[in-house]
Amino acid sequence: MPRYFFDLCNGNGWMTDEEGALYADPKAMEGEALISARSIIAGDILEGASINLGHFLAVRDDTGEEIYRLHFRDAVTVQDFPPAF
Amino acid sequence: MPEASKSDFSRSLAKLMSRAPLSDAAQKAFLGLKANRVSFAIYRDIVREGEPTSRCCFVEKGLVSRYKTLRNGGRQIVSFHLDGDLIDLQSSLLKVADHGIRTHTPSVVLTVSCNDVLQLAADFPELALAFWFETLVDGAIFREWTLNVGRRSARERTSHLLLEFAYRLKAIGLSDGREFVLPVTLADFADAVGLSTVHVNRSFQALRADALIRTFNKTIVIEDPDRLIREADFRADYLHPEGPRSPTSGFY
Repeated sequence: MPRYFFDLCNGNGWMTDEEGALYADPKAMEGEALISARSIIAGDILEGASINLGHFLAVRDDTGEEIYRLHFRDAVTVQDFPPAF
Repeated sequence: MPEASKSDFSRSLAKLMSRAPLSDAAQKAFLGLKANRVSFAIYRDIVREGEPTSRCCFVEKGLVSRYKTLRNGGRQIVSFHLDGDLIDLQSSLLKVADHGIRTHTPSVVLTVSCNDVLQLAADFPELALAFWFETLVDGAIFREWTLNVGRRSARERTSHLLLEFAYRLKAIGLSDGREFVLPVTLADFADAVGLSTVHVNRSFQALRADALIRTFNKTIVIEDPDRLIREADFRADYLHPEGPRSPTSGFY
C-alpha cells in the first residue's frame, strides 16, 4: 500500500506531515483528505474562529511529489439564501 | 509464539504494591501464577473485540491500547497502557471481549487462565481488592476520556493527552514529567482523541506556535506546564494517585 503525506497550509503557516499513512489507493487518500479538511473546519467553527476557504491540504507521495491538493472551499458546501417554505 | 523463558510478573506486582501493601504470601502467589509468555510484534491484536475470553493478559513489556472499531474500519482508542499495567483483569469475569487490545511497540505479554486469576482473588482477598482497584482506575480513565472526546476542543484534547502521557510516563520512571518520547504515532494519537491525524498535527503546530510545547522527532518538551495544564483543564485526580482506601481491620 502506498504511503501518503498530508501537509497543511493554514493560518499557522505550512504544516508538514512527518509520518504519513498508508492508503489502499488514491481514492482512499482523497477520502481521508476530505475528512481531515472537514474535521479542521468543523473544529474551528466550534471554537468561533474564522474559516479561510483558501487554506488547503497538500498530499505528497513517498517521492516527495505533491500529487493532490484540496482547498477548504472544495471541502464544504455553504449556502446563503432564505429557506423555501 | 510462546517462549520458554520465565514469566516475569514483577512489574505488575510493583504496580499493585505501589498502591497498597501486600502480604508476602499474596506476593508469592501472584509471582507464581502459571503463565504463557508471548511476544507480539507492533500493531498486533492481543485481544480481539467480540471474541470469547479464555485467558487474562498482563503486559510484561510494551505499550498497548484498548480500542473499539467502527463498521467502516475506523478506530477509537479508549485508553493506553504501559509496562506493568494489568490490562486484562476484566477477561477473568467478562466472558466476551467488548474491546480489542493492540500493541504499539514490540511487546511481551503474559497470559494466565481466567480461572487461575479468579482462584487467586478468592484465596487472597487483598489481591481481589487490588485487582478491583485497578479496574476502577481504568473506569476513571475512560470517564475522563469521555469528557475529553465528547466536549473538549481539538487543542484541549491534544494538550490533555500529552499531559496524561507525561504524568504516567513519569510514574514509571520514563520521564521527568516535562520531557518524554511520545510512544505512539500521531495517527494513533488521533485515534485516541477522536480527530483526524492532520487535525492532531495542526493542534501540535498551534501548541508549538504558542510556545506551550517544543518537539524534535518524537520527543515532546512541555515548555509551559502551568499554562498547558490550565488550557487542558488537566487534573490528575482521575488517575487516583492517592491509592485505594484500606479496610480498617486490615487483612493480616
